[in-house]
Amino acid sequence: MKRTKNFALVALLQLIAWSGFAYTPDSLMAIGNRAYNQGMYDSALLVYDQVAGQGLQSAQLFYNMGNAHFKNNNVPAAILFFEKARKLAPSDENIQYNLSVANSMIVDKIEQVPELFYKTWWNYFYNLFNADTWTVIALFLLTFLIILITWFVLTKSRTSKQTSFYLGIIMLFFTITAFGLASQKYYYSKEHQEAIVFTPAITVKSSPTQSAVDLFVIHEGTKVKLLDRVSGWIEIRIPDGSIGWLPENSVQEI
Amino acid sequence: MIIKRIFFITLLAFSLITQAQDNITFTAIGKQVVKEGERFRIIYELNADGGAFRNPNFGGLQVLSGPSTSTSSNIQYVNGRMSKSYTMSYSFVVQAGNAGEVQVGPASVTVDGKIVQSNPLTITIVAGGGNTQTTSGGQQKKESNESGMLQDDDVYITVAVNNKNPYLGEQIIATYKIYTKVAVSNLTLDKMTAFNGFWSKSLMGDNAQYRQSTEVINGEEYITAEINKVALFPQKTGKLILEPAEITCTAQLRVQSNQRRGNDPFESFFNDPFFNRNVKNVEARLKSKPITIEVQPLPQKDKPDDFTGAVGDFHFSSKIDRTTLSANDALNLSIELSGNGNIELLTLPEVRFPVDFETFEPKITTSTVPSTTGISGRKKFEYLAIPRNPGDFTIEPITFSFFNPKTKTYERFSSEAYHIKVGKGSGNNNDVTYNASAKEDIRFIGKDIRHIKTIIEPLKPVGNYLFGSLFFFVLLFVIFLIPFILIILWKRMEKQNANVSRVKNRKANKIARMRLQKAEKFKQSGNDKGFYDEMALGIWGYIADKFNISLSELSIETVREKLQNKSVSEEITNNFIQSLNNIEFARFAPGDARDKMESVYNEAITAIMQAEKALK
Repeated sequence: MKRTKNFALVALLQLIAWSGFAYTPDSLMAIGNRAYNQGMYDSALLVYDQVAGQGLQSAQLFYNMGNAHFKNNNVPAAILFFEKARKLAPSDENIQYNLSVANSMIVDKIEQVPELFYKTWWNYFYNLFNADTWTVIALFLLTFLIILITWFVLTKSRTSKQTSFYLGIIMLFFTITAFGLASQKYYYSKEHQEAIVFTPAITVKSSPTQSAVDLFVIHEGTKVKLLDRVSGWIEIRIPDGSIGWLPENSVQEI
Repeated sequence: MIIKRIFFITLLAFSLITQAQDNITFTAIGKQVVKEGERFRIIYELNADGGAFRNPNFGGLQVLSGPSTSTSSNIQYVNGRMSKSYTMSYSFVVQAGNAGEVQVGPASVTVDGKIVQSNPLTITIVAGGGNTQTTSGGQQKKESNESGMLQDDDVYITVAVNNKNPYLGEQIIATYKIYTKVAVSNLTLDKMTAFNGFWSKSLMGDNAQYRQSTEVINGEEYITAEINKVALFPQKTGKLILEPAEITCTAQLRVQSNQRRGNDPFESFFNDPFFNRNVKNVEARLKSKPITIEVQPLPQKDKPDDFTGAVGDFHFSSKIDRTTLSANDALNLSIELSGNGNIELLTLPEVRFPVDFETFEPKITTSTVPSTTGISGRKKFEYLAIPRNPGDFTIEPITFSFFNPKTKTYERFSSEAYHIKVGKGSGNNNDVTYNASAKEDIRFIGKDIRHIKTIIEPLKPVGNYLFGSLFFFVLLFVIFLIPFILIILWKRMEKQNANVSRVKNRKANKIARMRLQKAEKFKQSGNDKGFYDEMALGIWGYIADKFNISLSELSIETVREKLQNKSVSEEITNNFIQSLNNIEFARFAPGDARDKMESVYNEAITAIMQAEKALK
């Protein structure tokens, strides 16, 4: 019974693969989820890829894709998609949990360089919301600030002038912070600043040529920061601060 | 060998016949080829009783001893016929001289008064040293092994494998066999094959006797024996090579040759290696040929999830000793795997006891029976589990899968699910008293990622960000417009407020008059409370409207201040205040006569009229 049901599903998936735009992205998502629930992770990925192929994204899509890759034992791809999902929903607990599970299965164990306290704070706020949410927050704060300034200018009463002045100073600080976070998040989201290593083991070179000195070896699933790009080579930094060059095709950008 | 035997039998028969005819033979037997200085024997045999033996002319041979005489008689009954044989022999030990040919003349003997002469012998003496090839032209080829050299096909070992194309883990049997035409002894295995890539187990006991048999290969008879038999289980796929085995043995070769030419029936008996002193021990090193085994991987199709690499033909059974017990009692679950295959390498099937059960390492007993058809046997896993808490539990079915190379399919056994009822344990243990210490931490049994999100979120196009978008700048622009909007609104409100106060100002007098008229009516009806309330509302309301301040903010002080600000004269202000005070006073201390009301009324009208004039 279950077998015939699976056959029917496979046939349906085939149909989707041919017809392309016959289904709305939402119904495709539902089909993918159903395939995942039945343990047909390959088929689920096929459908999710269809959705992603239409130039659409959501934290849920990337999260589910990461799950399907994980169930297919493709840990680096799972990490890539969990990271993508986290970019869109930085404070989602499930994404963080699955990412940590996937990260516990990779080879490289890199010591994190300890951060200064203000950077930790900054990162805490930074990871609270995604780029759009931060933008909206910044705009709201700006509106508030403007109103306070106007009030300060217009009011004739001494006490309201004082209140609006001090409130305005505080609001100015918040607004600048929020805009900073929003812009940083925006550039982080827009530019590919990070990547996941997809080659099982690769040697990091000291300069962008094959003949360069071998510096160290990293393995698949490791997250690297992208610093520079030179004709097929990328300069990367791993979390412990070491810097080197890798062929561009050995990683996939988040 | 057979030919030889036939030859021998014919000779024997022939000799019997001759004897039956009373033919007397007198034969000289000796080596045809000897080395310089070699000592050897020349025997003259007579099949009758004779005497007066006359030494032959030995030519260049030196007689060391002899003749020594020996006789033997033999009486035989064959098929009821009696036959008698008699042999008399004269033997000499001679030593060969220098190389060359020596003619030994015939010897003679007298039998029943007749002189019988033997045949002459021609002996070739060759230069000494070394094992010379002495095969002469007339010799049969198969006797070459008696020349003192070991031929390749005299003794060799082979390795036979019953399946050169097994599956990964499938049992194959390699048999090492020795083939020999000559007698061998002191078999020692120098180097047994290193079974790289195999798990091996010998099927021969440690002190097993070699079982001999005979085989005919290329028309020649060989004695064969299995010297080793090994069950092999390939542990990796691809080409595996069984390296050659090396064996040292001592081959016993007959170094005498040509003696056979004599027609004496007993010669071959004496030439037997067992008796023959001229047997030469040659050490032979034998090496088998390497064998390539192509191990094919197990099919991926229909491979069960719980397959752990068992290949063979197995049977599976499981048994539980009881399904109802009380907490803290022990439970025995035994699983038995039996069959033909690699029993020792079998991994134990996973048994999923309920997490609340305390389990111990299983006791594993393995018994294997090596036989010529391979290893078979049984493996028993005995689990001991102790339920710690009462309740109904289920032990999930235990499954065991294996690959059967004969049918080329995966087979799978599954036990039933065991439902176990655990009652409350007797005795005072902690679990019965429900105190805090009976609580347990949650135990995590597995770790997995969390499930996918099934509630569908809205999908957005990639790279669509609010920050830096057109909409973002529009919003910014709108936000910076806010102050201007606010200022405009502020101004208009101020303006409107001003309008309102002007209207109120204009209407103040009118409203005050209306109130006072109302008060007049109260005065006439004698309602002094209504009169004073109306009066107060009228005069206070006038000031409030006039100066556009709320009633609640009004007080005598503010009224004075407002009036003075408008530079109303001191006298008018005082009159106004006086009137206010009088009304307030009369309001809270009523009961006076009608004329008091009259004066208050007039006073208020005058005050309002004066103020109205002054404020215009």
